[in-house]
Amino acid sequence: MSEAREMATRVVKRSLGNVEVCVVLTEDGILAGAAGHENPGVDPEALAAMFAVSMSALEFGLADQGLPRPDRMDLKIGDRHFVVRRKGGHYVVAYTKRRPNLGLVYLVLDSL
Amino acid sequence: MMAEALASLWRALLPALPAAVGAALGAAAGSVLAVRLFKPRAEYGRRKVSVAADVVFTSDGLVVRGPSDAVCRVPYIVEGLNLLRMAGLAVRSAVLETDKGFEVIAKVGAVGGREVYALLSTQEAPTLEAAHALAVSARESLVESGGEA
Repeated sequence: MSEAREMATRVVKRSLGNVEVCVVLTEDGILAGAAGHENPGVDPEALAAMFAVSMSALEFGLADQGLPRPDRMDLKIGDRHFVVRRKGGHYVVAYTKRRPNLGLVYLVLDSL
Repeated sequence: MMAEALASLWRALLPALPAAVGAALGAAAGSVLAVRLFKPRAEYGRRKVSVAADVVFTSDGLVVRGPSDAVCRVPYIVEGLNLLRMAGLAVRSAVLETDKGFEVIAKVGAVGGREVYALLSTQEAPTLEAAHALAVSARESLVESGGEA
Protein backbone atom coordinates (compact mmCIF):
# COMPACT_ATOMS: atom_id res chain seq x y z
CA MET A 1 0.00 0.00 0.00
CA SER A 2 1.43 3.44 -0.89
CA GLU A 3 2.19 5.94 1.87
CA ALA A 4 -0.55 8.29 0.66
CA ARG A 5 -3.12 5.49 0.50
CA GLU A 6 -2.08 4.44 4.01
CA MET A 7 -2.52 8.03 5.24
CA ALA A 8 -6.02 8.20 3.72
CA THR A 9 -6.97 4.87 5.31
CA ARG A 10 -5.64 6.05 8.68
CA VAL A 11 -7.78 9.21 8.52
CA VAL A 12 -10.94 7.21 7.79
CA LYS A 13 -10.22 4.68 10.56
CA ARG A 14 -9.18 7.16 13.26
CA SER A 15 -12.15 9.44 12.59
CA LEU A 16 -14.48 6.75 14.00
CA GLY A 17 -16.92 7.09 11.11
CA ASN A 18 -16.84 10.88 10.93
CA VAL A 19 -14.82 10.91 7.68
CA GLU A 20 -16.46 8.89 4.92
CA VAL A 21 -13.97 9.59 2.15
CA CYS A 22 -10.36 10.75 2.31
CA VAL A 23 -8.32 11.78 -0.70
CA VAL A 24 -4.60 12.63 -0.68
CA LEU A 25 -3.31 14.69 -3.58
CA THR A 26 -0.08 16.37 -4.54
CA GLU A 27 0.00 20.17 -4.71
CA ASP A 28 -0.17 19.97 -8.50
CA GLY A 29 -3.39 17.98 -8.38
CA ILE A 30 -2.21 14.40 -8.89
CA LEU A 31 -4.23 11.83 -6.91
CA ALA A 32 -1.80 10.05 -4.57
CA GLY A 33 -4.18 7.88 -2.55
CA ALA A 34 -7.76 7.52 -1.43
CA ALA A 35 -9.88 5.59 1.05
CA GLY A 36 -13.62 5.19 1.50
CA HIS A 37 -14.25 6.24 -2.10
CA GLU A 38 -16.15 3.03 -2.80
CA ASN A 39 -19.24 5.07 -1.81
CA PRO A 40 -21.38 5.83 -4.84
CA GLY A 41 -21.16 9.34 -6.25
CA VAL A 42 -17.61 10.06 -5.10
CA ASP A 43 -14.86 10.24 -7.69
CA PRO A 44 -11.44 10.72 -6.05
CA GLU A 45 -9.89 11.92 -9.32
CA ALA A 46 -12.54 14.65 -9.60
CA LEU A 47 -12.09 15.67 -5.96
CA ALA A 48 -8.31 15.87 -6.43
CA ALA A 49 -8.65 18.09 -9.49
CA MET A 50 -11.31 20.29 -7.85
CA PHE A 51 -9.37 20.91 -4.65
CA ALA A 52 -6.01 21.40 -6.40
CA VAL A 53 -7.56 24.26 -8.39
CA SER A 54 -9.40 25.71 -5.34
CA MET A 55 -6.38 25.63 -3.06
CA SER A 56 -4.04 27.10 -5.65
CA ALA A 57 -6.52 29.95 -6.32
CA LEU A 58 -6.85 30.60 -2.60
CA GLU A 59 -3.10 30.51 -2.02
CA PHE A 60 -2.51 32.84 -4.94
CA GLY A 61 -5.06 35.35 -3.62
CA LEU A 62 -3.69 35.24 -0.10
CA ALA A 63 -0.10 35.61 -1.32
CA ASP A 64 -1.24 38.64 -3.34
CA GLN A 65 -2.33 40.19 -0.04
CA GLY A 66 0.92 39.29 1.67
CA LEU A 67 -0.75 36.54 3.71
CA PRO A 68 0.74 33.07 4.33
CA ARG A 69 -0.53 29.82 2.83
CA PRO A 70 -3.56 28.40 4.63
CA ASP A 71 -2.99 25.32 6.80
CA ARG A 72 -6.60 24.20 6.76
CA MET A 73 -9.77 24.95 4.82
CA ASP A 74 -13.27 23.91 5.89
CA LEU A 75 -16.01 23.94 3.28
CA LYS A 76 -19.51 23.30 4.61
CA ILE A 77 -22.07 21.86 2.21
CA GLY A 78 -25.41 21.28 3.91
CA ASP A 79 -24.71 19.09 6.94
CA ARG A 80 -21.42 17.77 5.53
CA HIS A 81 -17.95 19.27 5.36
CA PHE A 82 -14.94 19.06 3.11
CA VAL A 83 -11.91 19.69 5.33
CA VAL A 84 -8.62 20.22 3.53
CA ARG A 85 -5.31 20.05 5.42
CA ARG A 86 -1.90 20.77 3.97
CA LYS A 87 0.65 18.13 4.94
CA GLY A 88 4.15 18.40 3.54
CA GLY A 89 3.83 18.57 -0.23
CA HIS A 90 0.32 17.07 -0.15
CA TYR A 91 -3.24 18.09 0.53
CA VAL A 92 -5.41 15.74 2.54
CA VAL A 93 -9.12 16.16 1.77
CA ALA A 94 -11.66 14.67 4.20
CA TYR A 95 -15.32 14.38 3.21
CA THR A 96 -17.39 14.00 6.38
CA LYS A 97 -20.64 12.30 7.29
CA ARG A 98 -23.69 14.48 8.05
CA ARG A 99 -23.31 16.58 11.22
CA PRO A 100 -19.79 15.30 12.00
CA ASN A 101 -17.73 15.57 15.15
CA LEU A 102 -15.68 18.30 13.54
CA GLY A 103 -13.27 18.54 16.47
CA LEU A 104 -12.31 14.91 15.93
CA VAL A 105 -11.88 15.42 12.17
CA TYR A 106 -9.55 18.38 12.81
CA LEU A 107 -7.65 16.43 15.47
CA VAL A 108 -7.12 13.43 13.19
CA LEU A 109 -5.95 15.61 10.30
CA ASP A 110 -3.65 17.65 12.58
CA SER A 111 -2.04 14.52 14.01
CA LEU A 112 -0.99 13.08 10.64
CA MET B 1 -2.84 33.72 -18.21
CA MET B 2 -4.15 31.58 -15.36
CA ALA B 3 -2.32 33.72 -12.80
CA GLU B 4 -3.71 36.93 -14.28
CA ALA B 5 -7.26 35.53 -14.29
CA LEU B 6 -6.92 34.51 -10.64
CA ALA B 7 -5.50 37.91 -9.69
CA SER B 8 -8.38 39.76 -11.34
CA LEU B 9 -10.92 37.41 -9.72
CA TRP B 10 -9.33 38.03 -6.33
CA ARG B 11 -9.40 41.82 -6.79
CA ALA B 12 -13.06 41.64 -7.84
CA LEU B 13 -13.91 39.68 -4.67
CA LEU B 14 -11.87 41.87 -2.35
CA PRO B 15 -14.43 44.67 -1.69
CA ALA B 16 -17.04 42.12 -0.57
CA LEU B 17 -14.68 40.34 1.83
CA PRO B 18 -14.79 42.56 4.97
CA ALA B 19 -18.61 42.32 5.12
CA ALA B 20 -18.56 38.54 4.59
CA VAL B 21 -15.85 37.99 7.19
CA GLY B 22 -17.68 40.26 9.67
CA ALA B 23 -20.92 38.31 9.21
CA ALA B 24 -19.13 35.00 9.72
CA LEU B 25 -17.45 36.22 12.89
CA GLY B 26 -20.71 37.64 14.24
CA ALA B 27 -22.36 34.27 13.79
CA ALA B 28 -19.55 32.44 15.57
CA ALA B 29 -20.49 30.94 18.90
CA GLY B 30 -17.27 32.28 20.41
CA SER B 31 -18.54 35.84 20.50
CA VAL B 32 -21.55 34.79 22.56
CA LEU B 33 -19.51 32.60 24.88
CA ALA B 34 -16.78 35.09 25.69
CA VAL B 35 -18.15 35.32 29.23
CA ARG B 36 -16.98 32.94 31.92
CA LEU B 37 -19.71 30.42 32.73
CA PHE B 38 -18.38 29.37 36.13
CA LYS B 39 -17.04 31.19 39.13
CA PRO B 40 -13.59 29.83 40.14
CA ARG B 41 -14.85 28.91 43.60
CA ALA B 42 -18.44 29.12 44.64
CA GLU B 43 -21.15 27.25 46.45
CA TYR B 44 -23.14 25.05 44.11
CA GLY B 45 -25.91 22.89 45.56
CA ARG B 46 -24.83 23.56 49.15
CA ARG B 47 -21.29 22.45 48.33
CA LYS B 48 -18.26 24.62 47.74
CA VAL B 49 -16.68 23.66 44.41
CA SER B 50 -13.32 24.85 43.11
CA VAL B 51 -13.25 24.83 39.35
CA ALA B 52 -9.70 24.01 38.25
CA ALA B 53 -10.25 23.92 34.49
CA ASP B 54 -13.20 25.29 32.65
CA VAL B 55 -13.89 24.15 29.09
CA VAL B 56 -16.79 25.13 26.89
CA PHE B 57 -17.42 23.03 23.78
CA THR B 58 -20.08 22.42 21.16
CA SER B 59 -21.81 19.22 20.04
CA ASP B 60 -19.66 19.20 16.88
CA GLY B 61 -16.54 18.68 18.99
CA LEU B 62 -15.13 22.20 18.77
CA VAL B 63 -13.63 23.89 21.82
CA VAL B 64 -15.00 27.41 22.31
CA ARG B 65 -12.87 28.13 25.32
CA GLY B 66 -10.43 26.12 27.41
CA PRO B 67 -6.79 25.10 27.79
CA SER B 68 -4.89 23.99 24.69
CA ASP B 69 -4.99 20.28 25.60
CA ALA B 70 -8.81 20.40 25.57
CA VAL B 71 -8.86 20.02 21.76
CA CYS B 72 -7.36 16.54 22.20
CA ARG B 73 -9.96 15.45 24.79
CA VAL B 74 -13.21 17.13 23.81
CA PRO B 75 -13.77 15.29 20.46
CA TYR B 76 -13.67 11.93 22.28
CA ILE B 77 -16.03 13.21 25.00
CA VAL B 78 -18.42 14.26 22.21
CA GLU B 79 -18.14 10.77 20.68
CA GLY B 80 -19.03 9.37 24.11
CA LEU B 81 -22.04 11.66 24.39
CA ASN B 82 -23.11 10.63 20.85
CA LEU B 83 -22.86 6.94 21.77
CA LEU B 84 -24.95 7.53 24.90
CA ARG B 85 -27.52 9.36 22.76
CA MET B 86 -27.65 6.32 20.44
CA ALA B 87 -28.41 4.26 23.56
CA GLY B 88 -31.34 6.58 24.28
CA LEU B 89 -29.54 8.60 26.96
CA ALA B 90 -29.46 12.31 26.17
CA VAL B 91 -26.98 13.57 28.77
CA ARG B 92 -27.84 16.84 30.49
CA SER B 93 -25.26 16.53 33.25
CA ALA B 94 -22.80 13.87 34.36
CA VAL B 95 -20.17 13.48 37.04
CA LEU B 96 -17.13 11.35 36.18
CA GLU B 97 -14.56 10.17 38.68
CA THR B 98 -11.19 9.88 36.94
CA ASP B 99 -7.64 9.10 38.02
CA LYS B 100 -7.00 12.88 38.25
CA GLY B 101 -10.08 13.96 40.14
CA PHE B 102 -13.63 14.67 39.06
CA GLU B 103 -15.10 15.98 35.83
CA VAL B 104 -18.54 17.48 35.51
CA ILE B 105 -20.14 17.59 32.06
CA ALA B 106 -23.16 19.85 31.80
CA LYS B 107 -25.30 20.72 28.81
CA VAL B 108 -25.72 24.46 29.12
CA GLY B 109 -27.74 25.44 26.06
CA ALA B 110 -27.48 26.08 22.36
CA VAL B 111 -25.90 28.65 20.09
CA GLY B 112 -26.45 28.77 16.33
CA GLY B 113 -28.21 25.38 16.23
CA ARG B 114 -25.38 23.62 18.06
CA GLU B 115 -25.62 22.32 21.60
CA VAL B 116 -23.18 23.85 24.06
CA TYR B 117 -21.62 21.85 26.89
CA ALA B 118 -19.35 22.81 29.73
CA LEU B 119 -16.71 20.55 31.19
CA LEU B 120 -15.01 21.39 34.44
CA SER B 121 -12.45 19.67 36.57
CA THR B 122 -12.55 19.72 40.32
CA GLN B 123 -10.76 17.89 43.11
CA GLU B 124 -13.79 17.81 45.42
CA ALA B 125 -16.33 15.08 44.74
CA PRO B 126 -19.36 17.01 43.53
CA THR B 127 -22.76 15.57 44.36
CA LEU B 128 -25.26 15.22 41.52
CA GLU B 129 -27.06 18.11 43.15
CA ALA B 130 -23.90 20.24 42.85
CA ALA B 131 -23.48 19.17 39.21
CA HIS B 132 -27.09 20.16 38.53
CA ALA B 133 -26.55 23.53 40.25
CA LEU B 134 -23.40 24.09 38.15
CA ALA B 135 -25.38 23.36 34.98
CA VAL B 136 -28.19 25.72 35.97
CA SER B 137 -25.70 28.47 36.84
CA ALA B 138 -23.90 28.01 33.51
CA ARG B 139 -27.21 28.06 31.60
CA GLU B 140 -28.13 31.35 33.23
CA SER B 141 -24.73 32.84 32.27
CA LEU B 142 -25.21 31.60 28.70
CA VAL B 143 -28.66 33.19 28.41
CA GLU B 144 -27.33 36.46 29.82
CA SER B 145 -24.69 36.43 27.10
CA GLY B 146 -27.18 35.86 24.29
CA GLY B 147 -27.41 32.06 23.94
CA GLU B 148 -30.44 29.80 24.37
CA ALA B 149 -30.69 27.55 27.41
